[in-house]
Amino acid sequence: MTETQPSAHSNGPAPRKRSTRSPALRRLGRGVMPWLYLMPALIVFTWFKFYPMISGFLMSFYEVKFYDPSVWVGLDNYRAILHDSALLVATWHTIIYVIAETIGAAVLAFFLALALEGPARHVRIIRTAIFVPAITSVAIIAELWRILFNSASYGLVNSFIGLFGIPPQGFLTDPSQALWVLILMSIWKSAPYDMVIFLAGLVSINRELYDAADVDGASRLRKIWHVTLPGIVPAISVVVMLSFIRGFRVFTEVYATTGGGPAGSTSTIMTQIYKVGFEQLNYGYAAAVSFLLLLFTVLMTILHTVLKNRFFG
Amino acid sequence: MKSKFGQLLLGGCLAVAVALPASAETITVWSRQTDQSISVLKAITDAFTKETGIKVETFNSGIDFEQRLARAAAARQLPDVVINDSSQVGSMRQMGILDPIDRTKLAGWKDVSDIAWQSAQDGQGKYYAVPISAQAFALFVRKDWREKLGLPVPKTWDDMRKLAEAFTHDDPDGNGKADTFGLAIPASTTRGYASWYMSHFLWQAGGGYLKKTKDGFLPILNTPEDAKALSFVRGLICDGLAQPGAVNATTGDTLPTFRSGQTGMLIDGPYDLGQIAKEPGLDKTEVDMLPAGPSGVAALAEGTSAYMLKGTTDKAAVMKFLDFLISPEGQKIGMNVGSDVTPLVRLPVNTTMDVLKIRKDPRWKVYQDTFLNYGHYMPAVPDWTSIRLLTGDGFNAILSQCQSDIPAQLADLNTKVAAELKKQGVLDPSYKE
Amino acid sequence: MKKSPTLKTLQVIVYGLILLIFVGPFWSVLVTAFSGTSLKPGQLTLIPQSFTLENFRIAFFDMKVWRYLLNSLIVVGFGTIAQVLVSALAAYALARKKFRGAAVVTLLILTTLMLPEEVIAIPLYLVTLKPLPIINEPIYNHYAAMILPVVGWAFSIFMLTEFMRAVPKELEEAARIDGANDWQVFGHVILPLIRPALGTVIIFGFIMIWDQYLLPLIVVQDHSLMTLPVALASLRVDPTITPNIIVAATLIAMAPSVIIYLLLQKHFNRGLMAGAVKG
Repeated sequence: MTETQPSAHSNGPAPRKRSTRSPALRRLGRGVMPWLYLMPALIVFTWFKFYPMISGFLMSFYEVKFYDPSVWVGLDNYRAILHDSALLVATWHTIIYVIAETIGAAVLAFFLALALEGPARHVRIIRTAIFVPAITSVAIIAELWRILFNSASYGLVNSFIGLFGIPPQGFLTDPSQALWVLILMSIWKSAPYDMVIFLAGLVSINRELYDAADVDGASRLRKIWHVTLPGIVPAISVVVMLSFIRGFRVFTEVYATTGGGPAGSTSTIMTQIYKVGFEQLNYGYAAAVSFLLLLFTVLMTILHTVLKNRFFG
Repeated sequence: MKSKFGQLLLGGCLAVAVALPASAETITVWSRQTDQSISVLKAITDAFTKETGIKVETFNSGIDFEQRLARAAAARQLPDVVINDSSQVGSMRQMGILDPIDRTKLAGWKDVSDIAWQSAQDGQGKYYAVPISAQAFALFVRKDWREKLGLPVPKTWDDMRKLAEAFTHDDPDGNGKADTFGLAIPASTTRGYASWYMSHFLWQAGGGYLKKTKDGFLPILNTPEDAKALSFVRGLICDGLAQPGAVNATTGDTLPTFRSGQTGMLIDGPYDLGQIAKEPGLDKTEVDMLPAGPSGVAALAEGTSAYMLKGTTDKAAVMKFLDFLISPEGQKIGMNVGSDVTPLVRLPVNTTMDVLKIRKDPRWKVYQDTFLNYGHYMPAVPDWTSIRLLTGDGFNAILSQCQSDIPAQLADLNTKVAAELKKQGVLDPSYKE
Repeated sequence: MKKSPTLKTLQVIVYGLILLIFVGPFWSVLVTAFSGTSLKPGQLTLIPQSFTLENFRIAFFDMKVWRYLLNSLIVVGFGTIAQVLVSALAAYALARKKFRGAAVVTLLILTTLMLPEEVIAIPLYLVTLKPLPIINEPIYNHYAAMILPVVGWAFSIFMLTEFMRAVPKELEEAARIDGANDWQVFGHVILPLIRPALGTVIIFGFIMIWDQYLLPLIVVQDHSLMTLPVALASLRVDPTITPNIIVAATLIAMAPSVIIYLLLQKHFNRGLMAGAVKG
């Protein structure tokens, strides 16, 4: 290794001179250098992320009074979580949402990737076009879906299914359908995104494997099963992880379409936190739930990394 | 108890407070309203400054208002005065930013009607705000549609239901498409809209939310009267007589349905008269008193109040401003006659004024009559917001499940409301499950 | 392998369906924004009726959307540049240096990605009220309050880290033998080699900052500083504004993200690919 460090006094490169510095000083330089590069990031993170996070975490042990001094309540906020039946229901909805959305988006994205793979011009244009939902803000998409899935018989989707003789559906106004319409919306928004990750995974598959399969006379389906799928396992793992992290925090998607209703059928952990923290102004409790959610997500990520390292090296 | 956390917050904020210049004769006023209607408040403050020399800085927002107040409270950066719905008195007290007001210190306090003062009172008879505007609700009806179909002005629930059916099925706009609906209903859980909307019907049926006793409050949601009200409104929604998506709709969604000719009836306050005058037009609409339920006519009474916040440095200037708001001069500017910008003062709270002399529009008479004779304020519990959200969820669940058992759901809701009242320390001890 | 005519027809149908599902809904938004007739809520026309630019004129000038657009552009411009710079420096340390504490730093930064931002709303607001060291001024109610908090974004740090890891060690060593110092290796070897990655990070950063809602809502009070998403939310609750105008304003708000994506999209796939490799 010929690693050297710039000294504060030297202007421009002066390679020979620097090697005369003592090894101890150089070691010190090597130790400090990474932190110098990290410093701008660490400053903004500390000031605008870590410090507010710690304050928020401390709030979870208080009954937050806003104007008057807050009252220390110890673990009361955490204990209250155990008896919160509304939160339990919301957690259940969130789990259904995460699992269905993840699987739905991944499956759709996989077929999109197979259909739109390749360098051909028209395929490239389609790939570009269908990415628009992924770069549009959630608030706008929510508004769009409220209109598309309007429960009136003249709503766009209702008119469409009317062509096949299906009666108008309630969609977002029907407690048994609302959550599924929201899941569909999230699939629609994230499938193009997942597709791009899959496309990247497809490119990295060794072409020789396909040739070998051709020699064996394998059908297209068998090739997908035995070559394509195993080849994009790393990509699938990324898609699942990203979707889990996003999914457990789902908020705007729900808040801007149904607000958690009808009949509480679309309440999620985050809409529940919002309601308790910002509408009922029980900020300490909301903070406690938030940090449990954070802890859970971090543990899942660590678990994912461990599993990934064990199985895919 | 002085907590570490409080010190943590304080430490950061004291420095800020010191940095701010302390100008004695300027007060800050925050108002929950949109940009389009802020001109009315500006007109009031300009007149106030001209008269007293006290400058007023205003800030307004139609979104995130209570949350912004909560944050400002945490940072001790509160304005001197807040103008907000009278019903927010509970949530603002919960934030700890209100002190009781000695109303007798206001020169014009006796001119303000008793019923308006009720809205500013807590359960124990202390006053935490100064009412500056009152309002009740009435029924906007598409007169052209109604007359075309040859139906009478709806006076009862039955009339209302029949008119809704006709508006939905008999193509009142004559475009040959089945794209009209009886009435616009905001029954979303968001901010408890479902509860807010149902209030008229609960009282019309002879029921309500809570009964005030001498030892506190008793929940009365499990009564057959309340069940009747919910089953009436649910019938309208489930039979397709309300606009599509009613169970997810807020008032921001319902007004456009009436203006665009999707719905033919809308329960609304007088503040939207200007909007409705523009579209569909006053020649096509009429303002009727709300229909009578089994127990007669009733309507929610609401209002706007001015709140003096804790920590204000110039109490005398603030009191002068509050006095100006309830004076005939301030009230008249706030009514904003002759413009279609939403007025700050809907019905004046000052009893020395005659609304018809100023407004010269008989529609306002309907509102005034309703307010004075049939108005009901929401119960004055310490924290109404929590109960509104709770009952909003409960009512929304009933309204969106057409087959559910209403009395059973209401009994369940009643228990939950009792628990909330107990938490707030105002449940009548005689309550039994 | 030649495709049979039936296979080709099938392919066209599949392409058509995909486009219909993913792009079709936006068509209705476009049509509504350019339509003169007012629509009933929840109703859409698929065919333009009485074409007009009036909705855009009202939105842009009367509703002052131009002003909010300008604010958003200022925030997103400075924010994206600063974010990419800061992330690149941090990524260089994480990707090319071995040092104690790297894993802890990575985990801490990762944690911020998973934090629901609503929960830090109040503390973050309080932080912007504190005077910053050196300048001794609080940033509350300044552009800086909307820009500085988004400068640190874990996602762009991790993405750049992945790209920088992929740069062969030999290139760096060769530069060092030629006498380049650390800073020069970063500026003249690493950065030019990951230029496509910078494009990706710019797109992601741009879209992330452009869509910020909560932050500009809480750290700014003056209406003259409002960004577009906040202004849109505020216009939406105003009953005096008709839906067509809001749709027009929404389209204006969507445009910059779409433009930046189209301009830089050839880098886009590579960025996501790095994510896939990283796993």
